[in-house]
Amino acid sequence: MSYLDLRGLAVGFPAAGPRGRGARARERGFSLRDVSFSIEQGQTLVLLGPSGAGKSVLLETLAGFHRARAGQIWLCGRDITFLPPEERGMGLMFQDYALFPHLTVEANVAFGLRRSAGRERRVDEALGLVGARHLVGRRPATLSGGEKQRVALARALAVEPRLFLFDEPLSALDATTREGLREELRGLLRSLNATSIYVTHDHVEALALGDAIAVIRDGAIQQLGPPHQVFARPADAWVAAFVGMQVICPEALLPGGPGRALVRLGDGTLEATCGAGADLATAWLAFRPEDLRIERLAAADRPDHGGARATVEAILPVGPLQRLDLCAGARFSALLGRRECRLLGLSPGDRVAVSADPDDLLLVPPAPEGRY
Amino acid sequence: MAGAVAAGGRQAVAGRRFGGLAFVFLWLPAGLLLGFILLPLLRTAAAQSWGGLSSVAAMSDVQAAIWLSVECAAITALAAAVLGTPLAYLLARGQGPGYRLVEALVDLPLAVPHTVAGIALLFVFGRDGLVGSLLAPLGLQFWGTAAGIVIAMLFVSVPYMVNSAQLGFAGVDPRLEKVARTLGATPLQVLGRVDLPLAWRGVLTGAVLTYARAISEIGSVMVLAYYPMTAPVKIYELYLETGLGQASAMAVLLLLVTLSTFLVMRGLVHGTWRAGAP
Repeated sequence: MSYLDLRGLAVGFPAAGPRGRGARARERGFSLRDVSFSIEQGQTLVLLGPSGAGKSVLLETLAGFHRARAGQIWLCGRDITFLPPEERGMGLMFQDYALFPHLTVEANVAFGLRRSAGRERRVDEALGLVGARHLVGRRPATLSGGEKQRVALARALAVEPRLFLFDEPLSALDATTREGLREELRGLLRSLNATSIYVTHDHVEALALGDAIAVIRDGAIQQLGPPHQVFARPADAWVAAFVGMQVICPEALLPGGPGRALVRLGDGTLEATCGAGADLATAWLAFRPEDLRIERLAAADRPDHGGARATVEAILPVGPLQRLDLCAGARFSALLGRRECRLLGLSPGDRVAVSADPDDLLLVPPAPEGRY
Repeated sequence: MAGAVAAGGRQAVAGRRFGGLAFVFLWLPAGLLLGFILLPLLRTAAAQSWGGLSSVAAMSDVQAAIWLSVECAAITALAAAVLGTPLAYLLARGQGPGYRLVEALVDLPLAVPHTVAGIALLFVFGRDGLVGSLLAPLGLQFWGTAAGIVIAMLFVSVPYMVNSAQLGFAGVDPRLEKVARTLGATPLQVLGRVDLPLAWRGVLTGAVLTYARAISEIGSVMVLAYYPMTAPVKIYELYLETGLGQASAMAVLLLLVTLSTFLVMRGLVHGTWRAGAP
């Protein structure tokens, strides 16, 4: 048995919550359905998904604030499905820190500790672990965002929880603080061999912290796997789009070599890799915009040039890169370095040939319910 | 703090640009209202002679009435806090139409004419009333006793307690409660260690408002317990017997007592809050 085991967990709010906003799961009366996964000790599972997907509900169900309608939660070999929150041994952290505003930093960290001789020492240890010893006498209102989150972490650490639950703990911080704290958090979780579940919608955080990633949509897990797998081999078109890939519906698909297929696109043919579950009748093409090869298509070019022909519709700077909006029947984008883009000397209306390494073009099954 | 400064700055700019309009729509109505509140009270006070005041203040039944009013209002405020705080907490945390219905019920005493409230209370706490007949053998009577005064005061003033405390509890982030639970606190411990310390200002404000409303109550008190006389009833009687002179003198005395206790309590709420604020 694993350290944490979720078996077919379902959480519902019967006839509750506002209708509309396209919450399909809620229409059926469920905000989570059939959620199963397990984590080993010392691992971090990242829950990734759009707002309203049920990430926070799952976290709060683990903490004991929502009653499971079906399924079980096992932690350290014990069924905790119906234990009250105070008996579960979870360390909960929120995006907005949730420090007790009427208590000093010291009293915040000591909140979960019994009055005993060791209490002061444990507060000191916990603050030391997060580098916040100097804040001990301060009030939460006088702390910066980063300092608050350190104190919140110390407060959770002090009670030595069996499982840490992080609900977007870094997303309210500025970029620099966030990066620094993320690295510290990663080191701390490793050195304490702490097990945690981490909700985020930041891909960088998911990759940096996760030993595994679960992508959630409409209250159900769409894909569960190691980070590189989720990002490189998304399970369907929706997950592909969610992890930042371009997803287009190809004109036609033809069988290629083993594990490959030929994609008809913009008067050309591209070789692509077949993802798990993709069949040639319904598959979509997914790729990262930075993996495309763009060449200028002069009038003299041979018509049998392999790549797809596309028209440049717009060229936009995106941070340090340039984004090319292209049309080859379907619309998609490519990302190029500035220098590369300048050398191509493109302007809107120009024709280009688009190609890519077959390993970088992935055929994925369509999104469930035809939506992404 | 920065937000406050920015908001202040914005106001100043708006004030300069719309000076005339601001006067017509803000300062003028505000000033009129303030005058409307203060003028009758000040005029009553100004009409008194020192001799008249001191002679009325020396009357033993006047002293007794004022003291009874203060006493009963204080007990009412205490009872309202003890009974109203749990309901306020439940209302602040509860969701769903049932809770909204209860909220409306709590406000009902505000909409009932107070003489009607007194009559309704008589049906329950009177000699033949449901509760009245039940408690009479135990020696607790509500008809014509201080207990009856407190019951009448409580009925008409408890909405202030519940509403104010509910507002206080609603201001506590539910996530604080969740964190406290995961740190090992039971729901009752969370109430004591997180909710009450953060919402106590709302609770105390409610008690102060309840006190102020209770001391000024006359309608329901007159129906349920004309005797022993509270200050407003005594003032009414003086007015019927001797006219405006003695009645207004006693009114000023009551105002002084009410105002001073009210101000002390308000100072307590705001003063300690400021000292306790980070």
